Amino acid sequence: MGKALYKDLGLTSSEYQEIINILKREPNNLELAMFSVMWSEHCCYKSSKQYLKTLPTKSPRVVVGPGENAGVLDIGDGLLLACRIESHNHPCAVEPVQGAATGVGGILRDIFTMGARPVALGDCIYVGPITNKNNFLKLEGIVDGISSYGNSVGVPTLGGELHFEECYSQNPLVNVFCLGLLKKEHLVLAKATGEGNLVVLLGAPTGKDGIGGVSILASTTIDSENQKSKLPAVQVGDPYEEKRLIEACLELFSLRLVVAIQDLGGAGLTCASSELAAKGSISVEINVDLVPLREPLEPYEIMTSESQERMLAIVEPKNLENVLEVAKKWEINAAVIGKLTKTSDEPLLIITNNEKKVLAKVPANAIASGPQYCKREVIEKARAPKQKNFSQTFSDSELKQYLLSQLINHEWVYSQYDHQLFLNTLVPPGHGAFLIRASAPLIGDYNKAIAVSLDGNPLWCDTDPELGTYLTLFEGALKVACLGATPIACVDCLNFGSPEDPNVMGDFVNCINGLKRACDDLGIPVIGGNVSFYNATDESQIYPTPVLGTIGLIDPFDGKLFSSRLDQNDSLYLVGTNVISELTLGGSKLAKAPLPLPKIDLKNFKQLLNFLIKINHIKRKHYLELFKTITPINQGGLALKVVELATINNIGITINSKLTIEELFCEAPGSVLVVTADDKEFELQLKEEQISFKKIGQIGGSKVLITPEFSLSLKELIHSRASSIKFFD
Amino acid sequence: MSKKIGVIQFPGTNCEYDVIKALELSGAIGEIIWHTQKNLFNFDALIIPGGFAHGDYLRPGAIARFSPVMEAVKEFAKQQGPILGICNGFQILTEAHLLPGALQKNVGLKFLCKKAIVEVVTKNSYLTSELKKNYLELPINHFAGSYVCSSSTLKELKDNDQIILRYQNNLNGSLASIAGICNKDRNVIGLMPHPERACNKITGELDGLNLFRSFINQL
Repeated sequence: MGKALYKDLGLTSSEYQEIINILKREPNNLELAMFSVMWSEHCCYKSSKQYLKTLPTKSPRVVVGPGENAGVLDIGDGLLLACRIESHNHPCAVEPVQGAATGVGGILRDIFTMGARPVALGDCIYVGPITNKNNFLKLEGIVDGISSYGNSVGVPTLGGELHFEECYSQNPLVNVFCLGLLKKEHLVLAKATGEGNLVVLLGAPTGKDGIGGVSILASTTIDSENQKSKLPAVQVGDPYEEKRLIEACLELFSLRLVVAIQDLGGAGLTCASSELAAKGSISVEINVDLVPLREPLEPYEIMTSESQERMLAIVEPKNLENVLEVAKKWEINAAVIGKLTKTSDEPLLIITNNEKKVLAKVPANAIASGPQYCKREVIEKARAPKQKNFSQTFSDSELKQYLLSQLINHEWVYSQYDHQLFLNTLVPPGHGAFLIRASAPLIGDYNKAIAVSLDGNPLWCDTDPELGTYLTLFEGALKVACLGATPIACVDCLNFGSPEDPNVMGDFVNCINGLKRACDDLGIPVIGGNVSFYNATDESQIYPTPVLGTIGLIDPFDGKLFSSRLDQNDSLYLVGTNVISELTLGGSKLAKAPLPLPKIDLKNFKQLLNFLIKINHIKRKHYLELFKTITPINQGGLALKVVELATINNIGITINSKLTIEELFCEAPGSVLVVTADDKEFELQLKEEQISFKKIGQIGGSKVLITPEFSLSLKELIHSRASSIKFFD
Repeated sequence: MSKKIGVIQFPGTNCEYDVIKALELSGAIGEIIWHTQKNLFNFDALIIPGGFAHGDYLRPGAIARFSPVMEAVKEFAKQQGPILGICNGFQILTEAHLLPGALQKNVGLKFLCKKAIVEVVTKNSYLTSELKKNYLELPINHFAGSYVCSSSTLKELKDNDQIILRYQNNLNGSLASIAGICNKDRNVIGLMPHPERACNKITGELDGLNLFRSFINQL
């Protein structure tokens, strides 16, 4: 019976054999269920681990790198920053509202389990074109889920991105980012220590949430007369429970009542307890009969349930009473469900019940680390050969149609998110990267600012996975620099199709290589990541979609921000004209044939980057007038950025410099648009800093002139943007 | 001596620390009062801040009105103590019947985090008596901010000059564009916009600070 069961649970025969070798016997059903969830792709990264290991993860600021629940950086003066980005794709395809909501819940837990108070969320949403009703409803549901959970739990959502591509129709992606702050002395790790210490389950009662594949067990219970119908349960989140859990946990940390803590996410209790044991090299015993339940559950259900809003803490017996008191104040359950037994190099996870029967006994290291042998075939995907020197012409109506289709009203999304709570928002959503003050309730106000850019470029990565990923990190670095911040780290969420498809693995490996190269070139580490495979159906596979979060720091922050104004008669400059060494339309939706991606001159890019960071600190006369608006160029190219600036600020812009189609629409991150009121002083400063530039236009009027012949009326642009996100009948 | 303001905190409240910052900028001292506290001593005024008290279960404010602290809040109101309810606080005050009317879901059924322009309807209130401007820019941040009341209540509000603030751009569908009101005795005030989010030029306009200053100076 066991043999057939392992297949149903998603294990391969070699994985099953490996389990037998580890246990030196056949696993029982409970043990098999536990292994099957822990050894799933999502939990153990079996297809991706070996490649992720190649990424650079160290820098003087890195306190905690990949491998823990969140990456942690030292940002000075005893203040730490924790952040992570995670996917919640498959639940969103089934139930967008709860899928997105529980995605937010999950990433929040990854942050406050480190001891940090979450202070900012970001969301990256990839759906099919919303001219299709189903895709619009998915978008609406996803935004509704993030809005209802994020607002209610009391953490502002400050940024994100929105992509519309056909390949995401069946496989929408929702990657959620979270950032938190904490004082150095409050950092908590998921490393259980102390023989005799108690294992305490905090938060919501456990139910059937998320028990999907394992429910197969129901049909093969030994007692076949007891066939209960077991419906698969979609995870449902409760932000109010999470809010109380956040406050309770932060209070426990500040009172030093917790030795270690781990949040419960994928694979529930099995994952949390085995990781705590493995990291701390200490055996753990869990009694399933002590777990507070929402409804009657079998032991395998208790151990694999993905019920939300739960944390597993290690507490010294002398502190238990105080822990229970804090839990009582915040109205959350706190139940002692087990204890730490012996320290050991081969710690065990032992599951028992009230009758003291041993229901399962597995080595924590083996179950937590995943199968040793998972070799995926990697084949470079054959793509259409890139045509160099392909000259393309476009009619004005083609260009107009393109620009209008890219002019999206993001306010429709972010006006549903509280983006003001905590009074830290310096640059709100809608400006590319966001900027917040480094301050949080009960942690303090620090004279620093943190910038975050969230970026994904599926078309760049489908054109050239390696270079596309490379350029994506450069986009993030440039966006934070435009706010005056120095990029100090990044986190990644890698979304791909099936790892059993060698071409997908080929793209995956290339994206990792591109990320590595970019990190090396920019000198920033990856401090955390997440991999989501199997974003595919029989009919469609997503583009390779690495999503990157770039973190920037301004320290000290002098309280000044650029005005972001455009006024009549101001001049428009293109700054950094020598950064992109090969301008092409590669990676752009506009391209009519496969073209190579543009290339960046690293030296010139760094020079521009440093200059943008520096001008934030320049205290020369009228510098805020010199750099009124700084906009980095990326998707849609220079032309789209000009159209966006004009539309959002309700003022015309004329490009009176003759620009080629490549100059107008190249998407490479490497140059920025700057609006200034004082040409002479502006050009003087740039020449002094040896930054390349070109004056390209003027602000004013009621039209946007891309060329003297091709113009768009401001009125039409504003109307088009305002109605860009809506239900199309 | 700085005025001492009690800031009520329910499980689920999240704007309490922002309000305390605003009070500090206005020259007062804010002190958190946990919702189970039954005694309120020596406070010059009380503020019920925004958030999701008790998760907004059932209706926003429906459960909060039964929290132990609300007995003391009602007594404070009876003694003419000044009480300011912001957003969720306004919702709680209506559920506790310390203010008339109710707050319903926004007309578009979407959460709104936007800038609102509000008209100062009367200067006869703690909140507005020191204002020099007639129009303020204040952020709104709510899912259920649409004010509603019976026609007789509306008449009373108008006759007694109890409407303090009105939206110039009515985004949530409030009856008569009502954004903020006070009770008959004028000591209990509720408003949906968040003045504490408009106390700093860099993160918002300063109109909120003017409201707080006016409120504190009247105490």
